[in-house]
Amino acid sequence: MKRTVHTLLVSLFFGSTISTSTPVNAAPITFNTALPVAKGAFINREQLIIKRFDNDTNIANRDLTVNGLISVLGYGITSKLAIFAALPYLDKTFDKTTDGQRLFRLSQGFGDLKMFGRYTFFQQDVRNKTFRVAGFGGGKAPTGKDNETDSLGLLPVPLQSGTGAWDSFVGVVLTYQTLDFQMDAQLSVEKNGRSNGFKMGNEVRADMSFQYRLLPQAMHSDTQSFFYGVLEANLINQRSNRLSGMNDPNSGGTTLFLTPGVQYVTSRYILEAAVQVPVIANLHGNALETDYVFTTGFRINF
Amino acid sequence: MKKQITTTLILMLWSSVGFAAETRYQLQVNGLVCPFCQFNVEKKLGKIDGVLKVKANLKAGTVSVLMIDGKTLPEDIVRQKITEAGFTLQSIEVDKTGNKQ
Repeated sequence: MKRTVHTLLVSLFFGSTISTSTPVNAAPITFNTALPVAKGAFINREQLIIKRFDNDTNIANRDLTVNGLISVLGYGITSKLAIFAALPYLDKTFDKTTDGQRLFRLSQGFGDLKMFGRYTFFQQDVRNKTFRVAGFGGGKAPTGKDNETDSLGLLPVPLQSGTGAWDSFVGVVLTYQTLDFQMDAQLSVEKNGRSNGFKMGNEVRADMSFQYRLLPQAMHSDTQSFFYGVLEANLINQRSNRLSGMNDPNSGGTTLFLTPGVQYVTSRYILEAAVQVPVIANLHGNALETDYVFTTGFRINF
Repeated sequence: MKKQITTTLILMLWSSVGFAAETRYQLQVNGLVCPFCQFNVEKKLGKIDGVLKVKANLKAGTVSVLMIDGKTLPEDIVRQKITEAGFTLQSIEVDKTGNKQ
């Protein structure tokens, strides 16, 4: 069971990517902190995320799938201050071989609600170009169920829809955009709380996104939509989890994802899709590695 | 006589519409870089009293604002609305007449 817990901690680690990944214009796909919101306006992003961990070399042949439907709502209090809330609905399925038999465990339900504010403290606009720097911070409330059981008993924390803990995070996000391309960079630190004797390792992550306008190749006075090619990179480092006061040696580590994707941008909505592929995974012990994370969804302005 | 009055009214109406089409402002908006951001600029400016039509030109970084007859577009309100949308007003000019606002 402990091994299961160890293994699944990694999934929660990547699960946190789901909820932090949200928000200046076209905006990145794998993080949310750069989402543009005007004063008095709302923005809604809905994302379907499929995470697969099914290439385990361990004898237990562990398989994990985390499907998430993430709803993000943003509101502009002023032109510089915006608030956001992100609520995931998660479907987690885990199986492994134990004593010659295949063991299945699963959970479904709303996860933890993440809320944060973003303040743009530097903005320089020139014709057809903009550069912005914003700070953000917020927390995650334990709204998800953290006491689900199955026939084998209480599910391990990483398989629960919620963690039961209050978490907090701060960061900075930079955006530079022209008519031809956009670049975003984010640095964030997340401090995770403790619940039921379990504390997920704190996380530091650096994210970059580059979006290049593929269509139309030439701008016209009546151009109303863009088609972007997207390349993002996500460097995530997580400390080991703590279980009953002890460090879990099979949790945490560092992973670098490269994420190719596409975005179709109009004045009212954006359609997007991307696949996160781990190119470097330096995980502790026998923690389970991610095979891929597929993300697709839309965003609307209102 | 009745026909003359009708014709005169039609001409007056046409003249009025024609005059309204003349009251067009050209705004240079900095930071306008993608279709998603033009929506907020058009929405904000469209709420100003007297605005008939708003159209952004991303390539030129400009926004054209058409006013109904007799209405003017105050620069302070335009600047405020564009700031609220998240962008920066560089200049505002009246088309045709060349009057600075």
